[in-house]
Amino acid sequence: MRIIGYICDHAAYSAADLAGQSGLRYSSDVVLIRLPCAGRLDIIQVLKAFRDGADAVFVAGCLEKNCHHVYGNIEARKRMEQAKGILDAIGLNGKRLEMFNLASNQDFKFKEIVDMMVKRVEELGRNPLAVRA
Amino acid sequence: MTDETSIGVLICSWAGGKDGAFDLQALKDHAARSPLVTFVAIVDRICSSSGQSEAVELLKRHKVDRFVVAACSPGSKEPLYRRISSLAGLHPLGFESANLREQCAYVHDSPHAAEKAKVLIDMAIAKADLWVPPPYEDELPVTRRAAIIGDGLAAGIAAYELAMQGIDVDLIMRSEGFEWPADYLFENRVAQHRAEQTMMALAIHPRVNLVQAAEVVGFDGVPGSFGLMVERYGDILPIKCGAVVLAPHLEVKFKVLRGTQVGALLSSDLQDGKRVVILPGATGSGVGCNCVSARAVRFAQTVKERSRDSQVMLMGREMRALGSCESIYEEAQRQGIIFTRIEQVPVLEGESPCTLKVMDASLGELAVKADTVVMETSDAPQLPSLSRLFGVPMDQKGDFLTLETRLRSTETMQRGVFACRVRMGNMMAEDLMLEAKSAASFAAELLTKGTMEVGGAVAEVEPEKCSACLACVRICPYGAPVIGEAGKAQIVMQKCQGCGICVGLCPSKAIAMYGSSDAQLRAQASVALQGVR
Repeated sequence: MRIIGYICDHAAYSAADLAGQSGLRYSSDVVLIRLPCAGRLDIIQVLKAFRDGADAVFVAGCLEKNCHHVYGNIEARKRMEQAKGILDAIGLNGKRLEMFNLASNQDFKFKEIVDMMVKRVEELGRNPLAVRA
Repeated sequence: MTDETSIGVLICSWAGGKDGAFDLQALKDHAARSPLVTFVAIVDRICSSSGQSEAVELLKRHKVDRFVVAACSPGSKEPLYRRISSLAGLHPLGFESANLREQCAYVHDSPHAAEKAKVLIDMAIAKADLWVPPPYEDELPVTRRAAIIGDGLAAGIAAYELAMQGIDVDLIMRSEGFEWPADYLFENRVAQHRAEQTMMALAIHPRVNLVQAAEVVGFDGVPGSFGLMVERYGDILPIKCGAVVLAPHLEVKFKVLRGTQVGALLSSDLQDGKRVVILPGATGSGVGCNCVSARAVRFAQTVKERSRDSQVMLMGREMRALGSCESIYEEAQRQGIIFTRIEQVPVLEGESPCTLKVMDASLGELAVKADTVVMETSDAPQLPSLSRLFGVPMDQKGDFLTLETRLRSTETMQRGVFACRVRMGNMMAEDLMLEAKSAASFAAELLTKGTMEVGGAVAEVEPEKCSACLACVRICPYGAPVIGEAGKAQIVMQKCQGCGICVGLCPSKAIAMYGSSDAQLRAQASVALQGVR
């Protein structure tokens, strides 16, 4: 299983760091990619990650109204909603993609997000686009 | 692999955490197998001074042009890596980091952690391979002068704080003199006296240039060297500065709805035996605000002190006396001021004396007779025009919208422009002063350093792809993109804060971003997904 987490450099990255420092455990199938802001992400990046075989993708940004870059998180959410629609249309479940908002002290919430995405993949099954040996 | 790139990989000896979640030697061998990598070394505690010099030495010896640091979270260590990079004679941003501790060793169990560490280090190598040296200038000079706009307490305190730090200040005031805050804005006489002393010291401070009866009419330039156009007695006066602090005057007034004028209320004992009701601002301090503020309590105390036989009532849904203002609230209760908790906005019937129909939280519907009814209102008249002129938007309460509530509370979207949020909540003088001090210290940080950092992870338009659709111009929170002379968008590097919102939005994919380009993000994802597909 492989889950990609695009996380913003501010609240979400700090939350992930804090989760590490607090010794929370989560699945090693999750790989995090650091973005300057959640608003940096575009739909194509996400769709290509699915094409390459990602079982799920999540995006984590700052809390709404508390974004380091004013409204990057809201912009990201708009795009991710659109991407979910595309995933539904091509027959990959839109639930494989989710956008979250985190505060930098919410390490437990970060773990919950990761666990939730792992559980979701377990329910939905692996990405049918991934060719496995 | 791009031509002539050579990547060095530095693995911190503590990357696996103190228990060593994975074998560093195996990781080193794995990284060395990559064709992109020139050398791999395990450095003993890369953040220690001996580790730093060892890293610099290794980078120099192997003549690499970029490197990967596999260590703990880059969050706080990045300035250190920049230093290592500069000392080794490389571009200060020529490194990528793999967070092997917080994102691997600390969160995964042993066999999985080793595998994940390999993936993370491969991702960082792939990203470093596609790194393009960004334009970067960390010594851009900043005009060592601040302009403070406003004529109230906040402006005065901000100017004083900056002047005391040895910065020349132009204090641009609309009026001929300071607008003094009303007595009831202060917690007590001592605080008021101290503020007044500061303002008096300011007026004769050699570093403060008072520009009275002046109006700012123009604002241009780039961060670091702004130009202000100030109109004064019909003349236009140009002012150069490196930072601007917006500190409009906050007017708090008690508007009389029924009965005696406020002046009479405070100056005589006309109220003896009469009842004065004070209501919180319905629209003044935020739409539908029902909170009794500490300043309303102070006002009530003043009325009570002037005419001891009067009955003073404060009505509201809740009480907001923050911090040490709690003592004012307690004192007011001891003085016999009545606090009534009401659920809805009261209905006023008849002239003086009038009847207030209120819904008391515990007693139910009440009809309260009152001789005088006053309502708290607050306004900052200069704020909307400053907001328009400096491109600092307002929030729904009519206050300045700043970057982040806690850590960047007075920084605005315009780099080098700082704003005091004077209308936030029910501010007392103390809060205004704190806000001013915050803005002043942010400005001082920029000005005392004398230089600013420009470039790095910024976005850049590729003109041949740009269709001038204005998407970036509209979306940018910082106003960095403009349509240039060639009819194509261009991004003003001094203003760009590297969020990349425009990069993700651009329909022509004409905006490239240093440090997290499309290719780099793609490469990271593909490496992460290798072996999955």
